[in-house]
Amino acid sequence: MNDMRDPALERSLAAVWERHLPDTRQRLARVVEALDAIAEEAVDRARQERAIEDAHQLVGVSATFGHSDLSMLAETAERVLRSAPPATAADRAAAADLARQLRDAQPA
Amino acid sequence: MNSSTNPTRVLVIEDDLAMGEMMQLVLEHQGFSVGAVARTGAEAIAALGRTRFEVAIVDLELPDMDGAILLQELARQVPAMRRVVCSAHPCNSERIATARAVADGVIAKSEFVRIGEVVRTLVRPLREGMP
Repeated sequence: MNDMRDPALERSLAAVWERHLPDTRQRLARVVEALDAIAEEAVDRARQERAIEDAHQLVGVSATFGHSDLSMLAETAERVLRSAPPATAADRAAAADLARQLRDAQPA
Repeated sequence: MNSSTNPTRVLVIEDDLAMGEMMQLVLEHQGFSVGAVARTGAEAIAALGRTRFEVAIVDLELPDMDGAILLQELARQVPAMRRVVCSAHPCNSERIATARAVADGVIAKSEFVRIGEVVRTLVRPLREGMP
């Protein structure tokens, strides 16, 4: 929503984002937990599937509300989660690093 | 087209609550009438029986149905209704390519503010009696 011009609409959209922020944070937490589990080779299929869904929703919602950095990280997370389990030690390290980046990108 | 006397009626199909609210806000701000926000394919199909929609905006990731199959069902039930796919990443997905075959348009979620242009372009020929 980078091209939004109307201040009243922007305020309404910001209110929607704020109202759903707890859900967004929960989704982010589940994605981070799943990535950490992948890094430790301890992810189970149910958690992985849920995290894929969470990551996908985060991609769309965060992009829509102007949080493009979070959206791009979530898109990478979705890709990593879909390709789990990781093939190499480097893949596991990348999953751990991505989890760290997502923690840092936690919306305020 | 989207005047207050006869606004284009839109069906939004989106399972994420925040996204659904955002879409409704933007569409109504741009002069469209959102007749329903369905969170599942089943809700969307049920809504077709209650209201006449000119446009459906469809998220492909639904909890109960593949979005491409839903698009086909929407086309079968209401052939005149225009169908727009709204996707988080519309360029890099095989599913989007499949969906394009049964949709009239695709828009990125990050570009949703431009939905008005997309809908007006699709609806104008219908309202002017063109095929």
